[in-house]
Amino acid sequence: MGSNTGVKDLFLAFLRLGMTAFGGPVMVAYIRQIAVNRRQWLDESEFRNGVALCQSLPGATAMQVAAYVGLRSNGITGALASYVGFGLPAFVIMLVLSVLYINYKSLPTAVSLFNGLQVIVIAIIVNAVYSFGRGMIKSIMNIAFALSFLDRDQSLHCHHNRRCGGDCIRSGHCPCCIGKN
Amino acid sequence: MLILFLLLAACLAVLYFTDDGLFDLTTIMMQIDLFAFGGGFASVPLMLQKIVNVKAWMGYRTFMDGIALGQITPGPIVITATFVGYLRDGLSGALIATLAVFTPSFLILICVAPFFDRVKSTRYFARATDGILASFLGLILYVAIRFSIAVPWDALKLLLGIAALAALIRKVDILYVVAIGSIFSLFFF
Repeated sequence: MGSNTGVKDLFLAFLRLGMTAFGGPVMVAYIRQIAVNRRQWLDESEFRNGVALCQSLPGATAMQVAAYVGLRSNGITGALASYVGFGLPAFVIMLVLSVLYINYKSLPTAVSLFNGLQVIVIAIIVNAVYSFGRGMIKSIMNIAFALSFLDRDQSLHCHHNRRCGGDCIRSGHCPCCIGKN
Repeated sequence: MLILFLLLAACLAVLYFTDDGLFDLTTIMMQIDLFAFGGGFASVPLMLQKIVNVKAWMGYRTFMDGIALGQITPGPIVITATFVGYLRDGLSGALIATLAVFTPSFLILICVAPFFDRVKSTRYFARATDGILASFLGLILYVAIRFSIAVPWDALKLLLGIAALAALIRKVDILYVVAIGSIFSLFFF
């Protein structure tokens, strides 16, 4: 699948993707559309494996997936092309915004804007706590529920409250009472 | 592949000997990248810790502005590194910080990808990722609290915050929330 035209195509395609790369997991869906459906740089199962890999590695998932697609398609050069292409719009835009920030942040308009944006950022983070927390709570409840089974089954205890695996109940003989009746 | 690592080592060496400040920036950004597990905001707590608490390169509110700008830009939130780099050291700072925050994970991907199928099935892998994700809740809770303390609250901001949170919980797209929130801020703050 590799050729020099391939690398340039990779770069340009991911450059375009990089310009609208909002909302993490959603991005991966768009990458899939281009990589698997339209350009066929790799097939569905390869892509899914790649996503699983990228989620478990450090680094932003969408960027890693971009690199993965490039890697699968054109080796290390391809990975570089897709990674840089994907990240370039973000870098350029952020750079411009940073310059504007430094120069104009004391302007009353900017102050108003950022006063509100700070609150919005907090809302975004609290939302992240909330949605992540919900998932965690379920796991914690699962664990607690599972643990509660550890000693629930009273039928495995005989009338002397010794655990005997249900033998005395089943057989009618209590091992701790053998010889005493 | 080895060439890439040698190249990286060479660049780091050059930085170390020529410009201490930039080298510092690089190491911090690389650390942030290496621990950015899990989706979305995973890297924010570490960024907060390293940039504001440990290095004191900026205050909480400036950092929050950087995060806000990171929301507006496409791409991962960790692009805030560009912001931090620029505020630290101008254009070269921005460039170096950005390279530093993306290179380690890229190299790791390149090296691990061919072997992933074998790694995936080991039990260490599953346990490691579980543990990392489990601690995340505590971390982002910390960030939420820290950010909330840094902001001078009033009734209007509280209103905006609650409205934004409600919208996000109902799965309104972040971009809309940011856009509408911005317009609101321009008029009312």
